[in-house]
Amino acid sequence: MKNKTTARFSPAPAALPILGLLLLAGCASSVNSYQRAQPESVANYVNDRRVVTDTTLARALRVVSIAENRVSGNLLQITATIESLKTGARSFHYKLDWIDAAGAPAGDTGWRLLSLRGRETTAVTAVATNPGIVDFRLQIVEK
Amino acid sequence: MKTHTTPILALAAAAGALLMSGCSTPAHYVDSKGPATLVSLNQINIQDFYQAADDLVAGILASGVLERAPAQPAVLLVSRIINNTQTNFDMSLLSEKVSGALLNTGKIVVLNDTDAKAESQRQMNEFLGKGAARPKPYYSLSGKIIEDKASAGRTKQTSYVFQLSLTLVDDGIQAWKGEKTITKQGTRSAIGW
Repeated sequence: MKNKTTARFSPAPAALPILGLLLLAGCASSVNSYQRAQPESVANYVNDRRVVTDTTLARALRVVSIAENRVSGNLLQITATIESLKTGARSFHYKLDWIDAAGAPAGDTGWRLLSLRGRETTAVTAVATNPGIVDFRLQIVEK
Repeated sequence: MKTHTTPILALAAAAGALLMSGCSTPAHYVDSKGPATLVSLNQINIQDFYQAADDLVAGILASGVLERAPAQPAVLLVSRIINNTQTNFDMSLLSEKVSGALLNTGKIVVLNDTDAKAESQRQMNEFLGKGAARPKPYYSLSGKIIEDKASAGRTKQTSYVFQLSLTLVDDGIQAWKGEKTITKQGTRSAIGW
């Protein structure tokens, strides 16, 4: 009698993963965006080198471009355009390390939180506060 | 029966000890700007000061306002920053970060009237009529930190609004204004963010 009860098929546990997937799909929403077809802004794009150590992260987020600019005369400003490749909301941490003309580290922005909605594209920017800073390294990790 | 109970009890005790040691966290260092820092709902955390100062400095520099001073580097006087939050903290956590970062750019020099030795020597020089005259500040840095609290059920939300402005000392005109808001939400404070 006891064995019979254990072996009986119950549809409830089987339906749970399906229900979970349906709920998750219902929660996921992605951003629609609209902008000028022919942008008037002209960015000075940096020819960047990419080192990927986390392929899961690389499938979740894409650095579309990195642009540089000089503000207040001689201070390096970096703007990275970042796109979420997932349909659900995701959070990341990013940091910009500053490097001087001799290749030595010259401070950083500290880790920052980056929360993106599904397929959202955003830009993160930072200004180096030392005129001797000529280079940067952008680092991103998934939260 | 007795032979079965003893190992179970020993196992439970070992598991309990492991769990207890896993729950306590010995003191350790964390990156002051990093995501391992504490997040408090009722006060400004150290990473909040760093983030607010960095963003406000970036705003000043990107605006190009420092380039417009007739004499370079311009003289900056750090004026009053008002704390309108419910917690007491040293306002230099913000003002020193901002004025220090601006000083490092080489675009300004900061007038320091809090150094007792330098101030007494300056007064002596003034009395004796020697030495250079005290430079007149061109910009004054002032601001305010405001707290805004809200809740829905058990969830609390606190926003800290950091407001800064650069004012031309001669005529009182505001040359730059900036604001950075940091919002935290949750039912209780947490380790990490």
